[in-house]
Amino acid sequence: MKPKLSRREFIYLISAAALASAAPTNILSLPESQFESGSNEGPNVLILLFDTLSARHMSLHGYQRQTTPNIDKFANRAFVYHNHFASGNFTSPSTASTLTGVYPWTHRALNLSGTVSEQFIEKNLFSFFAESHFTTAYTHNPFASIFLNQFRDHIDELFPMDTLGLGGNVYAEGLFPSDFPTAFWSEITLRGTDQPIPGSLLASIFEKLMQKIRPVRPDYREMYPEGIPFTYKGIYFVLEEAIDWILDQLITLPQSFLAYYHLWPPHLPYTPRADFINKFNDGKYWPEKPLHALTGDTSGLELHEQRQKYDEYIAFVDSEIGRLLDNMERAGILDNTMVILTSDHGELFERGMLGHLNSTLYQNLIHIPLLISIPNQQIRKDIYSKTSCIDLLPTILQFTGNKIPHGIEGQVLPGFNSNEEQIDRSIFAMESKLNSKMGSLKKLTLAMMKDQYKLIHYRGYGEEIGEELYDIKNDPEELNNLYSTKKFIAEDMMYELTRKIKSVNSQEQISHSNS
Amino acid sequence: MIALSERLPPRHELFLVLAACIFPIHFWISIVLLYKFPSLILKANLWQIMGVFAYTFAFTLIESLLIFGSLVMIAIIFPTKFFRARFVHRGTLIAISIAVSALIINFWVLAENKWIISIIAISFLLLLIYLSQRPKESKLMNSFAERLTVISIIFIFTDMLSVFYIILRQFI
Repeated sequence: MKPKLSRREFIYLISAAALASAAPTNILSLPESQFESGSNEGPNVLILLFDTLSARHMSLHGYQRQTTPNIDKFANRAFVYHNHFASGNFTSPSTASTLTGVYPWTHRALNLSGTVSEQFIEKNLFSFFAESHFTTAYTHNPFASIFLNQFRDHIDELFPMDTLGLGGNVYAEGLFPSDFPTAFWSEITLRGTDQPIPGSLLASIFEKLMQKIRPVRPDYREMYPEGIPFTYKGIYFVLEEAIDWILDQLITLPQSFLAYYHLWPPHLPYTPRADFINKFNDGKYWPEKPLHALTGDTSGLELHEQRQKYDEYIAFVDSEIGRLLDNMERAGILDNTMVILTSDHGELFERGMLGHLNSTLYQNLIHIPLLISIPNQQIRKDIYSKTSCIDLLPTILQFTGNKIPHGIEGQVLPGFNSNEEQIDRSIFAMESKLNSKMGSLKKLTLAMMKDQYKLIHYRGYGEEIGEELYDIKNDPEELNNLYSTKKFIAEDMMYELTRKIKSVNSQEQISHSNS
Repeated sequence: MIALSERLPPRHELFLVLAACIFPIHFWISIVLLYKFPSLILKANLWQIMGVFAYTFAFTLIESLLIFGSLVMIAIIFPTKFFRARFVHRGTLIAISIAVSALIINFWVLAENKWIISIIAISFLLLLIYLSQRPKESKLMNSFAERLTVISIIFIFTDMLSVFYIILRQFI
């Protein structure tokens, strides 16, 4: 005989059902951690970082081309940060900021293939989760790999770069893992990765020959008629394989996990799959912008062609992201995983400059995407406050119930913290690759975003390169320099920016950062 | 074993050819390291810079020994008249040729005006043919190899220190 429900039990049941149906909304309205501090049952954390993905080229953020339909779909169940900024315009400073929660002037990974200061080897994303989560990481990017190798003692499973390679290798990683940055710098010297002629005369020729004769699956050649994608003269790869591998990893990883996957696309070379080539051959042109003394002299036509290829590559990357997310949903991974989708910096196709290795900090270079989906999230939340990549670490820590350690410069992101005071703070991005890791910052570009304005200050480049002030809310293309017309705002921001430079250049700050 | 040692060129000749193998490759890496030095001092401390020098020199030693080993093998395998009889002359010539050819190939890949590199390559080839065809030039090559030994000894010493420093770095 079935037991009958009493009136009281019936009321309890109805109340429980009502609470359960309201759960997703409650999760969003409960931005503080849902998880007990020190608990081993926190949610999984998955960070998917796609290198060189500019938010300014994503339809999610209003780009004219439909480059990211799958990310747009994912946004329906995520927090979408519309004004999220990288801390630098290339991998080293901004990735280090994402992983440490501090600005480049503190972690000191200022240079190409730079390293973070010793203190951050024990204070980073992986060390903070070493107790509560199984930590794993992979990157295609050799510069990001430097950091992962620096943090390797806190990463339970660190995969070498050639894990997802079709050929080519970074030999230093396999041969001298405990001495990686130094061995890697030697390797790039020998291979001539960042200088015209390789240090090793013979091995370099052998390597070039091997690249020519290396067998590649014939269907890959058909899939990628413009060439198989490769990273920084190192490793050839196919994104489809990387996505499949990530999915396999996510299914088999122990609970709870923190996984960081930093993939190369849509970084140069822009080699979309065949079905995306000419997808955006639409005759669209973007406004001509004046040349900048610190950029280059690439012709407008070349920039237009490369922009189209980049957009097509983004559309291809987006399709693979969509495939990954759909499979994750089917496998139930999204039910207990905080998924973070972001980038390290953008790409520039204007003012005579192609790429990102220059000394400017225009929006296309530093405006990056950030989407965060928490377990079982069903609704979209758009956030327009200005945020920085240094905010990601404290947000993850807070959400998973971990303490935010002293010294983190980032703040918990809006949407995850009821304290809205942070909204008005200034956000910084910098380019300082010509400065010494150990010394004060003498030659740098520093951008400060405050309210609707962005001030770009060039220090050490001479008088001829003037300051720039843009109203990035009403002039996102940065066409009208307001520095001489909005004097009061310019002076106010310049005062704050100069004070910041003075403070980070103080001897105490430099020695503290390098300790 | 006796036969093998008999087929080996004399020790002083071996050393002269080793010097010729070591010199060009090490000289080139020294130039590259000087070129890279300004960017290294921005991001690395003294011990790391020493590490970069050590790894690159140790690798260069391996490259030099591979060329040297190949030349010795040729001397052992081929008839005496063909190679071993004029080991210093031919060994030095081949060692220098390999290094210069590699340099030309690397520049060729990069160069926009490939005809300049082509002229250099053809000139070098002609010089090579001239030097290899005239027995009189043997003396010249021998004395050239002897002069290289002084610098090569310094390079070998640096390589030894480099290997030691690399081993040390793995434990500290």
